[in-house]
Amino acid sequence: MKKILYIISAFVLSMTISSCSAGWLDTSDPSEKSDEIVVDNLTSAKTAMNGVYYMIKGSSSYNQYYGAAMIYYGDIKGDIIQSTETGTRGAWNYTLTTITSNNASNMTYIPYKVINRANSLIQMLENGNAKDATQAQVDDLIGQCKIARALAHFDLLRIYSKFWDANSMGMPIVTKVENYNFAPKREAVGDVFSEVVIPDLEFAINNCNSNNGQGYFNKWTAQLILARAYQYQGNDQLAYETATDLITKSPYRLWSHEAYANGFQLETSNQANTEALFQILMTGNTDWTDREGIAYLYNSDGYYIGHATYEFYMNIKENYADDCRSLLLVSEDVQDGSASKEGYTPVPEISDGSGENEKEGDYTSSTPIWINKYMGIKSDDNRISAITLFRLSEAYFIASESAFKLDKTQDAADYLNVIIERGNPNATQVTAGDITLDKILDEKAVEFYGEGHRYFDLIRNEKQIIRYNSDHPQVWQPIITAPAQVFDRNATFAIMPIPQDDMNANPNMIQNPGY
Amino acid sequence: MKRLLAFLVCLTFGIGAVFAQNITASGVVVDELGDEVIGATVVLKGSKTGTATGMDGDFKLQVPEGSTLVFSMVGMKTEERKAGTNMRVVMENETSVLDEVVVTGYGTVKKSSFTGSASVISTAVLEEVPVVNLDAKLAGAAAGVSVGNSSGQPGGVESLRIRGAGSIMASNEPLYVIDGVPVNTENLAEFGYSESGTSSLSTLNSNDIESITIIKDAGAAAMYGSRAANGVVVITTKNGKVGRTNVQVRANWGFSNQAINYRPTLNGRDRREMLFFGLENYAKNDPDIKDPNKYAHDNIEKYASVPWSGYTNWKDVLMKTGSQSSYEASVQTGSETFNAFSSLAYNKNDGIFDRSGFERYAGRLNATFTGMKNLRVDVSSTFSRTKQDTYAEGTSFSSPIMALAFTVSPSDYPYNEDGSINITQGFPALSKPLANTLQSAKYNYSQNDINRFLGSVAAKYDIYNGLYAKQTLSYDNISTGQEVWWSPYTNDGSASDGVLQIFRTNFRTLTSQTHVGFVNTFNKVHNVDAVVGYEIEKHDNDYILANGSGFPDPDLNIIDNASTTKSYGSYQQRRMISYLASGNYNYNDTYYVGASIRRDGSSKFHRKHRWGDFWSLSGSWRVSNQEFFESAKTYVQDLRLRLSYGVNGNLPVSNYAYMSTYTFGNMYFGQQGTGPSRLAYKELTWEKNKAVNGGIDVAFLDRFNLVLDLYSRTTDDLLIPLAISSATGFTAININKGKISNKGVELSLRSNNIVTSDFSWSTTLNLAHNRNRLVYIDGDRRQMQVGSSVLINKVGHPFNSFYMLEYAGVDRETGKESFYTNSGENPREITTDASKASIAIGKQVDPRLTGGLINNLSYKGFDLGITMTFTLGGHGYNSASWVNADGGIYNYTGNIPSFYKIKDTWTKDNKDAKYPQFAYGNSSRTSTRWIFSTDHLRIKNVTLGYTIPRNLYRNTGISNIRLFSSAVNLLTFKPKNVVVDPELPSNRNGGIGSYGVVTFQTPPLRTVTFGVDLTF
Repeated sequence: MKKILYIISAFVLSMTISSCSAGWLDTSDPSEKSDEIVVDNLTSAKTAMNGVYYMIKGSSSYNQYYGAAMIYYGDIKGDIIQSTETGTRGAWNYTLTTITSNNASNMTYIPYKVINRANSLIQMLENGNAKDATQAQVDDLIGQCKIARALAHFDLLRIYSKFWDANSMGMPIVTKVENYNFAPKREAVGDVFSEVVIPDLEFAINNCNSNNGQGYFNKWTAQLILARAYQYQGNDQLAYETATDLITKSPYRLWSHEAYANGFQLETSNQANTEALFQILMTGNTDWTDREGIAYLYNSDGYYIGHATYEFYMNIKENYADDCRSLLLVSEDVQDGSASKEGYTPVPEISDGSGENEKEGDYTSSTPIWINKYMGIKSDDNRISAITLFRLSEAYFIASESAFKLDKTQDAADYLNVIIERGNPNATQVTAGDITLDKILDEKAVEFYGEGHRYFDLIRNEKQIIRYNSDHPQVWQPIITAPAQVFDRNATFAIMPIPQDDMNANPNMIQNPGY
Repeated sequence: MKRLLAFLVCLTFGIGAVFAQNITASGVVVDELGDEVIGATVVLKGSKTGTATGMDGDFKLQVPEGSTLVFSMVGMKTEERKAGTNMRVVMENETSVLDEVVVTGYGTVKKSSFTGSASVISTAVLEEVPVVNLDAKLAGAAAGVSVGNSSGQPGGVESLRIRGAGSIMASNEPLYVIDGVPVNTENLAEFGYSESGTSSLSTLNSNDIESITIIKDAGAAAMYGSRAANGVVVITTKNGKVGRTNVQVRANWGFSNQAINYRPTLNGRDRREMLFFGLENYAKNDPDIKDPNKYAHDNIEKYASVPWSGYTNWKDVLMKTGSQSSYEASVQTGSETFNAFSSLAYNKNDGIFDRSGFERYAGRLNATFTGMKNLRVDVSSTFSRTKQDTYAEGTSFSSPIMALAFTVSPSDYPYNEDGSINITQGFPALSKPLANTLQSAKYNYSQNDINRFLGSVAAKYDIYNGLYAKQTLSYDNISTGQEVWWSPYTNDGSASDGVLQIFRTNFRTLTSQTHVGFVNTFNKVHNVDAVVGYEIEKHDNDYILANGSGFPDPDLNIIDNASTTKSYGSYQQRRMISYLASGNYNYNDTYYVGASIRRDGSSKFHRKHRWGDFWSLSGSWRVSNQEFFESAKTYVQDLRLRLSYGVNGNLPVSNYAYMSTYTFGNMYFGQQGTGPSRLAYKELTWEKNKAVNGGIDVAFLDRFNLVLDLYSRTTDDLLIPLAISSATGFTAININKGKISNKGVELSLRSNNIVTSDFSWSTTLNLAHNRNRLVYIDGDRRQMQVGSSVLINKVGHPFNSFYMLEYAGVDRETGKESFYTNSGENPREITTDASKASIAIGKQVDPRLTGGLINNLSYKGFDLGITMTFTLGGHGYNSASWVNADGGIYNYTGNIPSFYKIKDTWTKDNKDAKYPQFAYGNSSRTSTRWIFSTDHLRIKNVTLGYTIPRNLYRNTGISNIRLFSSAVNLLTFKPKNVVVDPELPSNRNGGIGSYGVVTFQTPPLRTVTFGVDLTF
């Protein structure tokens, strides 16, 4: 019997000792990794880098950034793209006047997630976690992270601040991983540019590779974003220098007239596109944005949330019928990734909606026009598509616009004419004598419709946003209140309200005026 | 545990010296039924001389002539007799409530010396109640314990609330301890198509249970430390009784239907009439329509045509009578060296719809080895295989319960004229005919196949003079195989050419408990027991999910044959280490004090915040044992006062919530991506439940036993969702900051109304009132609401209060719904414009009073047990806005609840009508109009039995034959306008937002069975 007692005692003792050893209670989640150990070599650093791109790309649940909202925000809030109806996704960008801090779409969340991921990876890389990587590889990855971080800060300014006024309230700056009781202040717009956006992009220009494959940032992406940032700041000289330098030095070239429409197509080989400095790329249902991505949202067979206004459509039809850019405003089902498939009318015959002189084939709600800049890889599905975020032609516009503002009208005309000629070799070119800012902006509208630029271009330049009034017909546009019909950047809703959740969570946050 | 005491008693007193000469007293000891009592202690009064009865209940003892013998046995009344030869001593079973035994898992104490608050439930009388889950048997049996389920499908998860809800983000379920070992009670269903879930308790045969103790206060529960905040349910399984060897065989058969008439709808003719009326009203409201009657005539066929087969009664088509059968055999034996109990049981339940069923094979072997000196070994083991079939519920379009209430109307027909299922015509509310619920029922299935082994071995060694050491090891292994099939022939699977999802999960729990204890009495009046312990628990679970779609041949639905497959898998683990110490002292069974402390370390927390200390203090005073009380004993036989205070804890649900981690699967351009998935909250710690309990136990007038408890429990460090700056990359985190309180009173009164040799009748009434308040959120924040939920959590109000427009009845002039404005200078102003009315905080979900009434009667061979349950003051919200719409579009495409009658709806000639105008195109608005009272009285279970007189089969080898009929949910009394089950589905996961809100959940089943019970 004593033996048994000894056995029990020995057992008890051994259990006590073995279990008590430090760390028995330290368990980890195998589906996830703790932040201290997630990156330990170059491969895992690249996996974390993909995580940054994933957040920029979004998913069906993270669609409040470049997955969809950031793009349609710039389109639908402007004057050439309209919401299909008042109840569709993103229509608050059209109706505007009902926006409050409580109901506004939260567009801070995903950019800050991008920033958080970038900061996290930068910290790990700076700590030397990627042990087997060369310094150049590490610097390139840090550069890509900094591009992401700069872009997200820049976009937050674009949405939530009077980014044209360096002294006005910008957004919080986040350059390291913060904990849950972080309660940042809104920094001045100028400070956000000078402390994050510009230095980060400059770092990337100096440290990133010139080609990381089509779906990844490189030094030229950084340079284009930098040029754009200068332009938004109103720093025309630096914008001009940065853009022209990019045009001269980068290996990128404009798509030809013939290749233009198909340039937007998803090319999964990851070969560098000649014009697109960066495209968000997808391969299938594991990395798509599904039915919440911009491609499906703009597709007439998808949720079809927006399309060209009647006036813009008529402009394309009457003035750009032979322009390659008209091919991407289509009326029939074209989803197989080809913009030149037979059987569709590149510029559809569409009635003015008055009901008079209507004939077969005219626009009805069932024969929509739609923006085909996000083409599907599969014949019946454009949920897997490329989202072209940055392309060289923007550098020409930046060069042209800043040259114009610097009174270099010949330069301005020269850069713009490259674009006009590519669109239609037979089109009338501009001259140093007749070029105007409106001509540049209107040409840019034709070049970049559906890519989220127009609204920002208008408010940057203190232009009115005219949806419809006595001179501009309403036609297909939903009825909206008078303040939303014509407004400028001084309107309350020209910038978005800080989401109420953020106001509640952070006592240091200040709401935008008027909300 | 009774046996343990018996054994100890035998050990202490049974081995006495034998005196010389005198007489040899002899005889047998039997119980009331005439069965031999084995192992009873026979002692010469005033000495230590004694023996124990043998295998035939016999004893022999040499004692001085004329002396008195004392016969005693735990669980039986002590008898004193003059010594003689050939004595026949009848010992009666102990029935007094106050002498019940409370099993705390750390020992067994007489209820009279228990200082906390606990309810002891003997399940013997409930064995014949035809339910698969244990929880259903607990309904009404204990004050302050309420039972709810999410769905009436057999085998579904049931939830138990002890003294209200004390958590928001973590669990509100009690800890279950079986034979001393805490067990896994997770929902075993990974798929959520059915709302029932799969109860892990349903894998156990509840008839293997000997007794259940529900510990309600913090005093005794603190022994379980960090998991005891919601109370502890301590279950003891059966074991062999010394000296009794018998085989018991029981079988029963029965049928089921729904316990209430769930959401009745208008039949085809009445529906057409109502719809016609609604079309006419619509036309009358529109000045452009000249002839309303013609308009109605022109349009009625679209919605209420008579199908080829005549109007369909879909209840006949989809619903069936459920069935239930069970067979079980058990054997038990016991001697001084070995006790054992073994059982084998088979249960089969078929639900009231196709594809709903539950089948279980369960075996158990429990044994105790006591033949070795100072050593006792207990073994408890059970193995079960359970198969559960479920159908979709809630608002899944294949839900048959929704179909009957909403989506399939009498104008839709189930079969074509050639007998095939109609999948081409009608079913507008389901949006396509292919969604015909019959089609899904025929081709789709969802099942969960569970194997479970749960076993424990405990060795107890008596070291010296009441000092013992005990080591328990336990292992619990649950593996599930869940399979959901959506056939390409059905609406679920047609788009993907069939979808098969297979979930395989494993849950493994290893527990070790090492205890050293001491029990002794000094100077006859100082009773001491104490235990120190060290326990560890290691739990891990893993899963594999395979998903296949695109099946060329729907009959060959295995993953191999799918054209597209995806798979997922992971594992998780959690661990815990505990140190504990507990001591009880009582002076002469009059003054009692107890204290316990436990230190728990959990892997769910950061190293620095991992350890939590939980403790309790308790005391009681048995006033009736005082000398001055003697004179009152004529009226009051027993009086005891109790007081306890303790702190215990509640763990967060997630195993890794404190960590900042990276999640994978964030794919970019076909490659793995990863990013932070969770913000670190290293300070994460236990929710702490601080509870004080005061109680009084009285036995009076030789007939009544009263237990009254007052309690207050407050949860500190309550986990609440905190909104954080999105600049962190995250928007919310759960932090320990809130506070919630539950205060209440419980009363349990038992009365032995009539006790005669032929007839006995006893009644137990349990009543409880609980008041729940959210005390604090996180400072400035006074309220929390999830999305557009109809519930709000507001400081000063009960957790989960309804929050919506306040309905003010039908507007006499327009026939529209009207609402109180609840704003401005005159909040009682009434408006029909909902936009002018403000939402207001309304009624609470939880009832103000819950209770149970139990009656047990026996007359000669007959016995009858009835348990009734009732609640008062609770509310639910009928969220079926599709049909609660006064002529909304779904009333036209689907069904109309049968409470709609033309004469009750507003017309210009009937301005005081109960309901608004019924008109095509109306819509439903969330308001207090759809709040209903859950007041009800339910005859929860009834068992009627007849034991055939034994003289009829004296020589057949059968010792007992009993015939019985048992029913569950036999009758329900509720307000007429309540169309769903008044026992609300309770949100088993806690959380905010859906508690008390009902859409389409299967009501509980009414099951009636008949059976026979044979003992050999």
